[in-house]
Amino acid sequence: MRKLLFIAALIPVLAGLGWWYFREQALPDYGPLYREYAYVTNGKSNTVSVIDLRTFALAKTIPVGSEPTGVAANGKKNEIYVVNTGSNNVSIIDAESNTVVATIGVHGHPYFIDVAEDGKRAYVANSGSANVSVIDLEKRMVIGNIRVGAAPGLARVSPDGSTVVVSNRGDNTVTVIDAKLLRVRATLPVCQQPEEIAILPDSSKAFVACSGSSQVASIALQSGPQKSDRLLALLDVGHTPVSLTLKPDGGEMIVCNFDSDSISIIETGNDEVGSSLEIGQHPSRGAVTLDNSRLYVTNFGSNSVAVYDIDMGRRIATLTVGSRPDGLALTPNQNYLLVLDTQSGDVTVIQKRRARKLEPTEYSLLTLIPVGMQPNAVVVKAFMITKSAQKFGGRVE
Amino acid sequence: MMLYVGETISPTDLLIGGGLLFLAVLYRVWRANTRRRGDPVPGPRPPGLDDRALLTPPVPFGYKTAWFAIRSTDMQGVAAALRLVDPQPAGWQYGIWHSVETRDYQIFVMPPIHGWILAAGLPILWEADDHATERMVKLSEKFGEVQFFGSMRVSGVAIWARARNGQLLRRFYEGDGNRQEFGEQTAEEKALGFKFFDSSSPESKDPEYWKRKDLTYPGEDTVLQVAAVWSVDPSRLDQMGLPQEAGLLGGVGEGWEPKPNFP
Repeated sequence: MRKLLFIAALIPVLAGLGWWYFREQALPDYGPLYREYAYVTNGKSNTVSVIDLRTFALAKTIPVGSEPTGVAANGKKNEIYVVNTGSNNVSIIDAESNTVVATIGVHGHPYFIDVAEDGKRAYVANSGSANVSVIDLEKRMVIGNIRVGAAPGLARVSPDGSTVVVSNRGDNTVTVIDAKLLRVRATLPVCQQPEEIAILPDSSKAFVACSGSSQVASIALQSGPQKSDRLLALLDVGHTPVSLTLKPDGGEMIVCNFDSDSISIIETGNDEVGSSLEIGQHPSRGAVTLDNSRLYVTNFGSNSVAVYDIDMGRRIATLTVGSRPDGLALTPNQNYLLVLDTQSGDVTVIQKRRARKLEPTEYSLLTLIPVGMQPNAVVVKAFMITKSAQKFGGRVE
Repeated sequence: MMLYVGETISPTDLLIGGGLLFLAVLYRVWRANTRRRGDPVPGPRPPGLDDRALLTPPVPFGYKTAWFAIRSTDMQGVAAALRLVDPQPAGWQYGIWHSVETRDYQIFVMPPIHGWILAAGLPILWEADDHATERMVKLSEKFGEVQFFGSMRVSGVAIWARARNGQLLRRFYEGDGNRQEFGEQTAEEKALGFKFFDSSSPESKDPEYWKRKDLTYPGEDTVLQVAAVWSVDPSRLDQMGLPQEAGLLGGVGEGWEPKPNFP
C-alpha cells in the first residue's frame, strides 16, 4: 500500500519535472492584430508566396508581374514592394490584406529595389536602360529617372537617406546620387563587374563587391568624415564575391566568395580583410543575427547552410536544406531561419533551440514549405494591423 | 509527501521511480524522432555519380551552362575535334555531373540524339563570351553545321549562334547590358515570335516604351527555346525516350583556356 501511494505521488512529480525540462517555449502572444509574414518572390511562377511565420504555413499566393526578383518591405508602412524584371514594373502589396494595390512602371530590366528608412522613397536600378527610377511611395509614382552607368545592377540608399549608391556592372563604375537633389554627385571607376552594395549604419562608407576581379571596393561617402565621395581602397577577397553581409553593428562585413568556397571577413573601420575561411561549396548569401553572434551562409553548391559562430570564429554546424539554396532571412525573434531553395521551389525552415543534454543539437529542420518556381528573394515583415483593417474583424488575409 | 514519518525509501522504490523516469525520457526521445521522421531528408545520392561505367537514362541540363550541338553521330570524331584529353566512356549521370554540375573542368560528348551530338562542360561556359564562337565556326568546317548555346542567369548572359561550313550565320549575345547581334534572325527564331526590349532604340527614351507588353527579355528559357527549334532542347533529354548509352568524358588541353584557379 505504501509503495502504491509512493508511486502515485511520484508520477505527477516526475511528470511535472519532465514537463519543466522538456517544455517547448510558447510563442509570445501579441494579440489578434499581430501579423508576421515572409514574402517570397517566385521568378518563374510570376507570384509572391506569403508565409505566416506564426504557423509556418503558406498563407497566400499573390499573382504579380512577370519574373519577380527583388523584394523589400517598408519600415514605416505595412507595404511590400516587388520588382518584376520581365514586365519592368513594381507591384505594391498591402501587407494587411495581402493584395496588390498598385503597380508602378519603371524602366528596363530592373532587378532590385531598396526602400529609404523613412519609408517615403524607393530606388530601382534599371539594368537594361542604364538609369535609376526614384519612386515616391506616398504618391505611388516615379518622380525621376536618373541616368547612371551601363547595366546598373543595384541601387542602395544610405541609412540616413541622403545618398544612393549604384553599381554599374557594365562599365565597372559606381554612381553616387544625392537623394535630396536627385542628381549624380560622383561617378567612380572601381573594379570589374561591381554589383552587391553594403552601406555602414552611420552612412559614412559604402562597400561594393566586384565579382569579376575578386575585390571589394571601399568608398567614402560625403556624409562621413572624409566629406567627399571617393574610392578609399580595393580589398582582395576570394574568387567571385557575390554578396556582402554587414553585422548589425557595422564593425565587420562578411563576403561570400562563390568560386572559392570561402567567406572573407572585412573590418570595415580600417578596410582590412581580417580573415578568410572555407565555408561550403559555392557560398551565396549570408545573414547575421541581431546580437552579432551567429552568421548563416547558404551553400548553393552543396545544398546546405553553414552556421558560423562569430565569437568563436569557426563554423559550428552544416545543415542540409533543399536544392540550390540562395536567399535567406531570419524571423524577428531570430529563432527561425528561412532558406530559399531555388531549384526545388521551396523554403526550408530551420529552428534554433536551446541545446540540452538529451537533445544536444542546437539546430533542427522544422518544416519545408513549397512555394513557386525559382524562389528568388525573401523579406520578413512583422506588424500590427491598423484600425482601418479592424473593420473587417482582423480577418483580412 | 505521502511517505509516513520514519519510513525509508527502499531500493525497490528507487528502482520503480528510476524506471518511470527512464520511460518518460524514452517517450520524449521517441516523440522527437517521430517528428524528425516526417521532416524532409536529403534523398540518396543518384546512382552513377561515382560510377563512370554505369549506364543511366539521359540527364537533362541547360541552365547556367554552355554547349555545342554538332551535326554528327561520330562521338570519337567530335572528341578529337574538341581536342579532349584522354576521353573515356562515361554514363549520362557521371558525364553530366563531372562536366556541367561540378568544377571538374571537363567536357562530356554525349551519345547521338536524332543526328546531333551535344558537347557540354565548364570549359565551354568559361569561354562563352569570346572564343566559343570562333571554336564553333572552326568545328563547322569539319562537321558541316555546329551551333552554340549558353546562359548564365546571374550575369544575365544569353547566347545562341550557328555556323555552317566554316561560315558564321547567326549570333545573338546579351550579357551585362551589352547586346551583340550578327546576321538576320533565322526563320525558326521569327516563328518563335521573339521581340525583345532594346535600350539602344530611340523609342526606349519614352517611359511608355518600358510598359509594352509585347516585348520581353532574352534569358535562359529563350536559349532553350532556340535550341529546341534549331537542334535539341537539352532540358528535355529525359522525355525523349533515348537509350541508356555511354558518351565520352575528357579534359581539355591545348587551345583551351587553362583551368581557373579553383580551390
